[in-house]
Amino acid sequence: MEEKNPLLQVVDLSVDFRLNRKTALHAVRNVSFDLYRGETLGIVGESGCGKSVTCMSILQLNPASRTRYPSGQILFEGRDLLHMKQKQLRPIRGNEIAMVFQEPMTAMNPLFTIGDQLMEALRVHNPRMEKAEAYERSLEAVRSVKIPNPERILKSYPFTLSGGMRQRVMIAMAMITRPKLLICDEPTTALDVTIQAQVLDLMNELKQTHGTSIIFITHDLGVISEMADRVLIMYGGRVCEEADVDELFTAPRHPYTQGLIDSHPSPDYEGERLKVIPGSVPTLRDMPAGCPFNNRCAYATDACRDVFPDFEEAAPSHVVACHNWRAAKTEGGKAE
Amino acid sequence: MTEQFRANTNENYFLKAEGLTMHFPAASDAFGRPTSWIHGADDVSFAVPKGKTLGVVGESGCGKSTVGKMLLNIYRPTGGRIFYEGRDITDLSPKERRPYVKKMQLVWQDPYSSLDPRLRAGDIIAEPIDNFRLAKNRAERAEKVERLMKMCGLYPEMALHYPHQFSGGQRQRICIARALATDPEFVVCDEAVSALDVSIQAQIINLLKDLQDELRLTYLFISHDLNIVHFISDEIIVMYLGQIVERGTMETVYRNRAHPYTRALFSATPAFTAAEKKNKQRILLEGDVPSPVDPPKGCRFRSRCPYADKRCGEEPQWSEVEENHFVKCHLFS
Ligand SMILES: Nc1ncnc2c1ncn2[C@@H]1O[C@H](COP(=O)(O)OP(=O)(O)OP(=O)(O)O)[C@@H](O)[C@H]1O
Ligand SMILES: Nc1ncnc2c1ncn2[C@@H]1O[C@H](COP(=O)(O)OP(=O)(O)OP(=O)(O)O)[C@@H](O)[C@H]1O
Ligand code: SF4
Ligand SMILES: [Mg+2]
Ligand SMILES: [Mg+2]
Repeated sequence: MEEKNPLLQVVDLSVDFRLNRKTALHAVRNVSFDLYRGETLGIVGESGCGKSVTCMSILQLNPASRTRYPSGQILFEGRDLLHMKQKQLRPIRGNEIAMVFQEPMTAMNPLFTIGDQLMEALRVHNPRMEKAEAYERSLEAVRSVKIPNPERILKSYPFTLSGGMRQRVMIAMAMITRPKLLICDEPTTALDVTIQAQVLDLMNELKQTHGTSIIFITHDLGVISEMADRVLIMYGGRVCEEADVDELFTAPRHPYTQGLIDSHPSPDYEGERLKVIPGSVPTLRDMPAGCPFNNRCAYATDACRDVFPDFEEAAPSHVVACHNWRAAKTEGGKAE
Repeated sequence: MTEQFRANTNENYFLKAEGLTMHFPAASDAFGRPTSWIHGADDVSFAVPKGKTLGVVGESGCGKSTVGKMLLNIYRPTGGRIFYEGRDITDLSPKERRPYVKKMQLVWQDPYSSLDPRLRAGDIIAEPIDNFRLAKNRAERAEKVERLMKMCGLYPEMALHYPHQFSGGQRQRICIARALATDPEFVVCDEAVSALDVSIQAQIINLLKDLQDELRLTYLFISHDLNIVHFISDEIIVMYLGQIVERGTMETVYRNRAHPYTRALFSATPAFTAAEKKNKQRILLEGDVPSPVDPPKGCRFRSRCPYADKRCGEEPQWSEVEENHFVKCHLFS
């Protein structure tokens, strides 16, 4: 934690997808953030705002033939992952950086037992590992994610496990090589709340014992509030606000962040109707010029329709991209 | 107390379920006779007053949708009765049922797959109007569609658009408009906002509330989002593995959670604000929900309950913890 240099630095990342000869989708625009050791960064935003694409870029997992990176660097311990050859990237993937996805079934091979898959992951990592040692390590990994009867689990096939079990096995699989960075893309969205609570609890414990840095993607503000140290709010492919988690919830500055927080019915909310953000999220094709939020924003001025706002510091280590953030007032949060 | 629990379901009810049960065959022998059963719902009893909302919560597979589907006659209950304004509507002939099909509607989860992609929005909304011959001529039909669209916050010009031209929130508005086309009195909302973006959910919740006030609709509101259920419901039932474990008004249950499962469920919902986070004491449940095929005897929550003891091997009876607040747990008997 004493480390001064971030583990991961994403600098000015932009991602385009080519649809045909003439058109390209601007999926992500000028995204920058730092992630320190042992820190959890939450990324929140609505469907299609670019959360997954941003994280897939870290390991170059976007479809290579259609993806272009018009700008950006992704520095992992100083090495630029974005411009690395696949061959150089391979030893990093799954070892130093691991990923957990929303639907664990897609990441597991249905034809092999959990044990085979865990041992395989270990042996790719370290080809000289003895079979017996791989077995022991796998057993320990499954035990560490608090699955009862780990011997039996190693012998079972993925489809025989419940959703919560599978997600825990996925986490065991991702953690087995002690990665420095764990990227979790909506890891609990498909789970029931009591199972989600188990998984979140487990992730926090692993983070504490191993000092793993985590990027946690979700659209659930409650989950972010409990998991993240810092939060990145994205809208329309761009970052609109970044702050420490408590600061973000007590003093949100961006009108979109404020709208999100206000529209959430907290248990002590007394009103008859919920506060809403009017309109709907534009698709990437009809994203307005200037600030992408301008067609839904109560504070929009001419400047908002022309240029994307620069980042301004609203407080120490709290940045916001809005022309009018000083005028924006939240009702639910406690911005003064 | 079981009798009292069943009977004490609010005298001035509008819709009442009494001991509703749904068993699906799970496996059968060589002659096709079922040998084991999936307990989709067991002995579900509640009553909703007119113009109110009954929230239904519980984990995946606990029987929430099954209850909704039995009320709407999509599933034929294997036991129990349903009363609509005092009339037993459990076993009606198709002809007798017809007026109730009109009065009871469903809005469900997926605004993407529940709309026919080949039909225009206006025709989708008009489908029930045509089915029930609710319009005398084309002009009246168009007028009705326009009124429904406006009521649900859609522009009438959009009647000519196809589903793919709408956003998720707009599609859910179309589903709601279609459900309202027959002037229903009772609507089952089964995860009606779950598939929507956060900033759109609030719009649809407000719409449902406004429509309820305007048309005096009665809702059965099924959702796994406790904050939303808390916001919209007047009464609540908490289900676990096919059974109701706690029932009462939303406020009493929220303030005075009795059943260990209800407590764990509410505590598992991630805290939102810093203040909530501070007060929060999380109760972590071990293990997964057991299989609904031949569920365990005794209290079904026993295998995960932090308080389980010998008594829990017997099925708990209903207890009334305070007026109109029932719980099925030995801790209270
Ligand atoms: N391989 C691809 N080809 C073309 N467009 C893509 C591709 N992957 C993503 N996109 C588009 O890029 C945009 C951002 O997608 P992304 O998956 O990052 O969204 P997200 O924020 O993760 O949303 P969700 O919450 O729904 O997962 C979307 O408009 C999506 O349709
Ligand atoms: N048509 C059916 N045939 C057989 N089993 C069924 C049928 N419908 C539901 N079930 C079973 O009944 C149980 C209750 O299912 P139900 O769909 O009511 O759950 P739910 O509470 O709505 O869950 P979710 O939150 O996942 O929607 C489940 O075990 C389910 O598998
Ligand atoms: S830049 Fe303008 S449109 Fe964008 S959020 Fe700020 S005030 Fe609203
Ligand atoms: Mg995604
Ligand atoms: Mg359901």
